[in-house]
Amino acid sequence: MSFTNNIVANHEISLTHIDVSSLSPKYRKINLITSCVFTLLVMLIPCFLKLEWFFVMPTGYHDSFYWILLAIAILGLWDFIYHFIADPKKGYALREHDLHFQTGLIFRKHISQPILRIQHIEIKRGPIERKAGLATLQVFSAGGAHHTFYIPGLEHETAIKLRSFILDHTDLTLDE
Amino acid sequence: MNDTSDVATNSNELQEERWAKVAPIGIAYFFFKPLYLFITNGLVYLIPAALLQSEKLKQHIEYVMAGIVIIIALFLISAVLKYLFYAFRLSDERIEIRQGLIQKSHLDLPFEKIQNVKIEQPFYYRFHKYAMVELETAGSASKEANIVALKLENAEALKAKVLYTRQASENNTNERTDNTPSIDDEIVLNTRSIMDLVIHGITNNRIWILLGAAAPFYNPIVENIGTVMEAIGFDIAGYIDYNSQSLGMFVLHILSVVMFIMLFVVLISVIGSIFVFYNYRLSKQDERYIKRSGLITKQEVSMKTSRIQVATQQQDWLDILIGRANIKLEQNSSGISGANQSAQLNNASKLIVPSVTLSESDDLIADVFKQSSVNQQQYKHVSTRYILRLMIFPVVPLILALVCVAYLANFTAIGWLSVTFAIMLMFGLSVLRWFRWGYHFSNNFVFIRKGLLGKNYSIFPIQKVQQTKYKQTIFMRPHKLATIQLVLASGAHSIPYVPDTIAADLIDESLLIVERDKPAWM
Repeated sequence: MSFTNNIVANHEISLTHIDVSSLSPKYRKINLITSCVFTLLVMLIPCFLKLEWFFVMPTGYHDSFYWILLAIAILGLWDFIYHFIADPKKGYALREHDLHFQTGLIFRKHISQPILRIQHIEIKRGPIERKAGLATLQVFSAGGAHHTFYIPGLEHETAIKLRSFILDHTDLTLDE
Repeated sequence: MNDTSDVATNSNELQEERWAKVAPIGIAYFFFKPLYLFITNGLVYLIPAALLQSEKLKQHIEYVMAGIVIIIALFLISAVLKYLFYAFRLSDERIEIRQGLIQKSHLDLPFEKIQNVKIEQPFYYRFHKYAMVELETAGSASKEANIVALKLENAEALKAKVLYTRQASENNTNERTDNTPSIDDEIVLNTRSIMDLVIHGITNNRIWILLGAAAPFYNPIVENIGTVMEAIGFDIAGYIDYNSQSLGMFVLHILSVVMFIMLFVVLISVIGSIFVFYNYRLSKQDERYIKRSGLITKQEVSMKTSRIQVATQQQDWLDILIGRANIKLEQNSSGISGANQSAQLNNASKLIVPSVTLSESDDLIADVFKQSSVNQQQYKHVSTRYILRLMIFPVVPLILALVCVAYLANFTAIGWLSVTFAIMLMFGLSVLRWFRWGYHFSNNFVFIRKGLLGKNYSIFPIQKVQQTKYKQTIFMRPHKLATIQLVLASGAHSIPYVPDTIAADLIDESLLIVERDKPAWM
């Protein structure tokens, strides 16, 4: 079996020189919308309690009502800003023999998964992802549940293409 | 079912190609195991409730007794039924197990899929030379493949058969002669004397081995401890009565009580260590390690050399003082659930050699990986900025919390002095933590040293890597530092704050070796 990676100069195959493709722009849009909707929903809870339909709240609650709303809003805004800046920075790459995923804003992380070590592979789509035509690719190795490799925010066709590339890879049959 | 009536005789027990039943002693297994689980997982939590209602319970003692009898009877009936509906069938390359009354299951297990064969002798099997064979598969932990009762020699024969068949299929040889390896071919690598186990009990807290087993008896122990003490003329209340004695005497008394308790704890720990590791023998046979030990429940675990992912040498501060270490050989653990300690010790995914000397440790690791001692490598330190990282988290938040508490509680001068001392201690520990971190790469092996008061060394071949992670925070980037994480089938190993070129090189190297040479990890 010939292994073509050999002829490439070492610095060119380094993980510091991998060009990653970014995720679908829809991924950020979905995250931003979900973040807004979720924050508003959470803000509705104290509003509902304020009405005192079922429970009588302690007086301290009414005094700090606006502070509670503000705290939720700040957390929501934080989440929104995070997705706004961090989502475009997420990216993946597929090389001949491995998969890569980059993520993180302050804590940058580059995960590499050799195809040889893949045990099985799944495409996962939640209801919102289905609506948007997106999919998450999950790759399982023997490293265990904490180290499941996943690429979110892929166009469904891209995910299918990636999956069939991996499934057709000759390495997959080698490693049990 | 008439054809299975003669199973208990040796010759027929392992006869192939027909459904066989296990010996009637299997009922004991089906009875004790669920009962034990019932008590340790359920009944223990009812003790507080029972304590609260103890008066009521005492009034209606006859109902309580009746309840216990009924429960035991139910377990007994279920054990007999389970036994009646349990059968297994052996063929040349697979074993099938049929069980269940209401929820029937049929397990078909090819020998190649079996990762480990564990022979266990619970105490109720010991008198009749019976054993249980546990077949561990690589994948799911939930599926239980146990042959619940076989004559010990048949268990050994079955094990030899499973392992031998696997080996033959792996080597692709056609010579399938019947000279299955016997115990005589084994080379004994290590044995542990009672003295070693006593040392192990002192340096390692093995107290839970007994505490776990004693859980159902906590209540009577606690209730009666006072009476026993009084009976031997030990008056606790008078002993620690602050008013009747001087402060110095009081402190001395408290100290001696603490010492007494510590002594007691150590004693229990020593007994626990002897329970698990009694008659410990580690031997090697055809590229396979076999561990045997146990006082009441005898255990035999075997592990194929090629499946070992990582070897760890662990030393507590006490171990460092007396020059001992625990060796742990770990294999694939991704399918194994349940993180409680006692499960881990008995778990076949980890093979522990308790309290060996450092030279014995070197010999063992040399045998496993053909690499020189983990103790004599030239380890490089991680960046000193790691100390700064420890300061930011968790030291400074802890200090702030401590100062807040001290301020709010209006501490006296002595109080503030001890706060200052605690802060200095935390600084010292951070530096020590940094000092312990070290890494060394050679011959495609990764050596990692870490610890705080104790020292842990890990060594693993790069070719076992499953996945790699390169981590760099925006604070590390200007200083060209990065954290490496290499994921193995037995768990992840990190090296923090190394120069980013070294990190990238090691990860590139790991990916290259795995992808080019395609080494097997199992």
